[in-house]
Amino acid sequence: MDSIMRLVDHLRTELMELNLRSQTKDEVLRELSDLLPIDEKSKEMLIETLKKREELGSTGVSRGVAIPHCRSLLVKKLYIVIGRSRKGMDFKSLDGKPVHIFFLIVAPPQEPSNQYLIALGKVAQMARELSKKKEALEIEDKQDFLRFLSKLDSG
Amino acid sequence: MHQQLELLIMLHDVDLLLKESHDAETSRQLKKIGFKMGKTTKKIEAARERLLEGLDRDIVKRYRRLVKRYDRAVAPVLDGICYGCYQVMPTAMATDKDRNKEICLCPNCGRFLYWIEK
Repeated sequence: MDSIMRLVDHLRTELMELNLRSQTKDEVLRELSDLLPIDEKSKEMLIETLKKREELGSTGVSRGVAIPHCRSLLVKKLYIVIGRSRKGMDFKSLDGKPVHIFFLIVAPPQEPSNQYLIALGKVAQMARELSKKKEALEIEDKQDFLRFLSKLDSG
Repeated sequence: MHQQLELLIMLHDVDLLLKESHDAETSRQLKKIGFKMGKTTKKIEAARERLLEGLDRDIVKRYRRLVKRYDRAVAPVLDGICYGCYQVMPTAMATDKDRNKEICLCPNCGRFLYWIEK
């Protein structure tokens, strides 16, 4: 199952913000959630679940990357939202360093193929590669950023 | 959206989060990925209690009964199908009406329903 899931198939330019304005953890969860195609009420509820997930342990997995995630009834499919902050922000990361790249992952609970955990694994793997590339903070265009991520996804 | 349905959805999502944090296999996989899952769930459990307090007693009773039986008590409806039991909803229920303004139960499995496509 792992080998047939391509992360790039879930990445969209409309689910991407390369100039995040947020300064705090709560703000960035909101800014990223704002890109999801769900109504305002659902968004508020989803943000609450994401905050609760953070209470279990920060999803700032180090190397300047955070992967906030949760499962929720409020979405009908797996979504991956990408955000970037050139300046970086304090996300209470495991290594204490500022976070520059965010991957917000939300998935429905009724997902038989368990793409959620596979996506989390693949994003974490991509994050390791991403942290070694200076282009990650330089690329301006969303399509170019998507192409850059595609290269990392294919190995 | 019906206020009680809102609380039910949040309760469902919190229960799922707690279940994943307590499940040894999921925790192992998340740790392998690089996430450190804390053992303290007190804050989340307190939030869960507050959600339960906001729900009508009959709804809580039914929620607990359904969780005992099926593990998950709220199911989404997508394309007219209950994603709890995978049965097609009767045509009478598949109207243009915003079903999330009321508490609906699946006529087959009895789960609370959340209509994703309205």
